[in-house]
Amino acid sequence: MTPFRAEVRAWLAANVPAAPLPRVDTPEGDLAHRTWERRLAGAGLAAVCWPAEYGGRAAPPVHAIEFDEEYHAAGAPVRIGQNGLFLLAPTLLTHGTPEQCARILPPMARADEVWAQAWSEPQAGSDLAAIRSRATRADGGWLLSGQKTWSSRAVVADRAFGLFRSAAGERPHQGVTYLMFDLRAPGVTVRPIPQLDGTAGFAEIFLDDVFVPDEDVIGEPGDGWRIAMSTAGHERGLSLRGPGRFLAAADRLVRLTRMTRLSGDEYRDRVADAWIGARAYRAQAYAPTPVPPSATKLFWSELDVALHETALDVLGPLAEISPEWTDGYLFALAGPIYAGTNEIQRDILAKRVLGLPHPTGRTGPPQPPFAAMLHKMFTDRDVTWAALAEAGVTGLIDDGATPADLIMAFEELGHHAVPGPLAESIACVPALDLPAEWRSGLAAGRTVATLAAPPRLPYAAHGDTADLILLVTGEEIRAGRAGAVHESMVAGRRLAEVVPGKVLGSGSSVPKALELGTLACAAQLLGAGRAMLEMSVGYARTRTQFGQPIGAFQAVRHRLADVAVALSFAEPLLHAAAAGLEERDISAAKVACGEAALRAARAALQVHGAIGYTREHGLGRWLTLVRVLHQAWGTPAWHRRRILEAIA
Amino acid sequence: MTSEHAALRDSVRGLVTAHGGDDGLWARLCREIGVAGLTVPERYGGSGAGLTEAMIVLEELGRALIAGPMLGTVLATEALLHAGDDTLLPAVCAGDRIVALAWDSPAPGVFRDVLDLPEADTLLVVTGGNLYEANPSTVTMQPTLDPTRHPASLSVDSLRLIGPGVPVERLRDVACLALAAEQVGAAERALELTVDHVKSRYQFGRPIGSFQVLQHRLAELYVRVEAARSACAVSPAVAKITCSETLRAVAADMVQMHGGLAITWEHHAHLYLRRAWASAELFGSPAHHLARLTATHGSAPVA
Ligand SMILES: Cc1cc2nc3c(=O)[nH]c(=O)nc-3n(C[C@H](O)[C@H](O)[C@H](O)COP(=O)(O)OP(=O)(O)OC[C@H]3O[C@@H](n4cnc5c(N)ncnc54)[C@H](O)[C@@H]3O)c2cc1C
Repeated sequence: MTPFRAEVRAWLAANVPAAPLPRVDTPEGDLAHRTWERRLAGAGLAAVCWPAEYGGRAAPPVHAIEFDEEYHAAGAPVRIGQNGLFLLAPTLLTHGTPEQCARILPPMARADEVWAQAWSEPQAGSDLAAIRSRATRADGGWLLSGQKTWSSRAVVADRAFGLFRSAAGERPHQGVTYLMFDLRAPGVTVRPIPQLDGTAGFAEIFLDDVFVPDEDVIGEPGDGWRIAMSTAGHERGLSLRGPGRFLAAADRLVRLTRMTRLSGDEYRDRVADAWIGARAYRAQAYAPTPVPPSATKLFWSELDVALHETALDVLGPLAEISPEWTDGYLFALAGPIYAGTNEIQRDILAKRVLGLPHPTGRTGPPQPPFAAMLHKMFTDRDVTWAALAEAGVTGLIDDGATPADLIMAFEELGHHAVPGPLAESIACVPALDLPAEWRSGLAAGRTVATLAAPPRLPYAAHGDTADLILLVTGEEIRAGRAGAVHESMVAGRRLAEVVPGKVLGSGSSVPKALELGTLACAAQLLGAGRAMLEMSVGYARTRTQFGQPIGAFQAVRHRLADVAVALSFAEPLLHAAAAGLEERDISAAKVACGEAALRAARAALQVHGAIGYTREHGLGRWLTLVRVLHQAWGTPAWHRRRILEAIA
Repeated sequence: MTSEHAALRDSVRGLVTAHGGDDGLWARLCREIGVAGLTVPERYGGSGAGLTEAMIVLEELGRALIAGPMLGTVLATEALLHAGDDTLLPAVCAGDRIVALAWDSPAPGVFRDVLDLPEADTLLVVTGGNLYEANPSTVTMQPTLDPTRHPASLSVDSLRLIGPGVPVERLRDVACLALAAEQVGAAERALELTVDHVKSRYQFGRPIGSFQVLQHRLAELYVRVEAARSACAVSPAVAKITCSETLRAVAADMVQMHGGLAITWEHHAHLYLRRAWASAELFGSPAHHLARLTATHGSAPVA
């Protein structure tokens, strides 16, 4: 644990109020939440990443994530200042003047000023650029008129930041100005709107010639749209919703399932999935390459709904009387709507990230050199076992490659749907305690090995052709030979039942070797999934129907966007699993990569239509491979159970 | 649907549209259409139609989220018929008396999911296969997400026997079917309201219903609602599971497609959502019925 995390944990343990505070939308709740924010600010914890002169600690961004995790784990109050702290503040720090930062941020940190966001209007929801509220030039400032709606916290807030039309532009995004105004100023009327949970969580704001001085314009007049999009990035991403909420809720869900032995069993898989989702979101939060905010938003909002729905189902008849879950559920339901609806996020991803329907270049992240070399080699020629040996792939374990290197190679193998007992012969068997000459044979690519290891691997893949067949039970390793051989759905792959031979040894190398095989298989799935996404994107850009590329149709765009999200959140789980080699993390990676790859496969076939169904096209190689690997090296059910046992 | 069925549906819908929120709706439904006696033979004051017809009425009430005494009445008349009663039935069919029936007993002497208790003038209980008239000794209104329906848990004293021979399993089946019909109605109406909304709400200069993703999702919901209606013909447990899940799915998409509007108290979307979650748990959750199904069909247990 970092010293910072320890400090936060200790402070929260000593300070979080024992009883829940009154609702924010009541006068008592308003006061109680502001008092709480003041205590946080007093401890220097209100906004740790801000510069010190504004009330922060200039901490690195990961501290904000650590804080968020601890905050939710401690069950601390909701943050009345959230719109200011998480949306306006990052916007001001990037686009505001030092004078604005110095004037606005300190009282924001102490909750002396609570902020509301005033963007949406009755006619401008998803289509935000359709706003009509106006800012007209006045002496020394601007006069605001119009109507804003759905403004969270506006009932108790002191000030608001909003978008206003200040000039007629050729396109709706032009002539928009970003302004801050006082909710108590003359000409402002705030009308609460009761939410479906009964609270006055948001409000309408009517503006009638409200004066705003020039100093409260953010950026240049007319440049509001560009700046607003940077705020929107914070709203959709980690700033507003760190992993803390989901981790805390997933932990509570696991505890709940253990407690209520009522109906837990039917929901075991969904509980495990909720836990995997929360870990994936966390892993992504700490990952060096961030995913686009739209992907983050899709992921957390759907995870939140799924998590709470699972809890309600587990609780069954008790759900209704468990406000800690029903409140969370109703709150979660709004997630796919605010911060830009999920439909709009899928469209943005499809356009900006996948490049549909206009080509924008490659889709995946830049590749490290080894992977790039493999990629080139696999693209240029047919992959034989000798070629794998030449490239150093078969000798990875013998050369002391790290698990991180291993998954990099296996992603490429999966990406090219390379056939053979890859995880078996390259990742698992070389890690077993076997005679040195066998290992050098494997490393040099002279020997191809496979194994059965029930229950994870009931059959030996490619047992009909492998040079070395093993049977691993518990920690015992035996030689084996192929018994009955079964044809797999993957062309050229055959599964052999293994007839046990003599005992070769036993020992502690076995568990780790099996984990490495599983990890490699997960990486292969991820690579294959990514390949299918790339094929589909390429195809959707060029295939024309109804006079446009099919990638222009929302049904196609959204489906591929969902695949991109699933792959992006499986990847950090895989890396986390490789870093720690913990069983439960490997299981989480295997399940997430498998599900993402399957999703990619279904989408790919659908997008390609009949051509994808032909043998010639080759999509079938990936399609059948992921279907098979998804169940290999431990079925998803087996891995989910292992996770639940590990965290119980 | 036969023309008689369509006529029944239309007349119920007409009354519900005209008098939906009125206290007198139930009396009118009984007097003008005879809904309370649909499952009761003529010699007891009913019309001798059947459960199918009662389900048509329930579907209509479900559409409007009216939780009135129809569902409870179908159950009560079923019990009274088995017990051979001939005094209460005519009054119930005429709409003169409202009877609450307690039959779902999680523990001896305790009943749950008792409907219409506040409106009822008579409480009947089924215990040990016998039907009794009873007085409630303790009553707790069950906490619920759904503001339109208030089931009660209760215990009783001073039982007066009406008659023997009331099978609780049959009551559970009728309850599941009747509730499923309500759920189908609610789901169908929620879908209609959502389709109306996406046709009239403009964003990006077009009705949002012109965007393909919404069209496809609505098309899928339509298929689910129709499948749910068909599921009512399969078995009570299948009906309960399918209709509960369908209503939940439709209500969730209703919320999503209404955007911010759906998150307000005023808009009805949340009432459909609340009905969906609350009704799914009434008379046994979908998971409970699924377990029952797999047990009776001897198929593999749910992993
Ligand atoms: C709890 C909550 C808090 C909020 N807080 C704030 C706040 O503080 N400040 C603020 O300014 N706003 C706030 N909002 C408003 C929020 O930003 C809007 O609700 C959102 O932008 C959607 O707009 P709308 O509700 O008008 O839905 P609409 O735009 O009418 O959309 C309705 C449905 O149509 C779909 N749709 C629309 N266009 C397309 C398309 N091109 N393709 C496919 N589908 C489409 C939408 O995705 C949605 O499902 C809040 C909303 C909620 C629910």
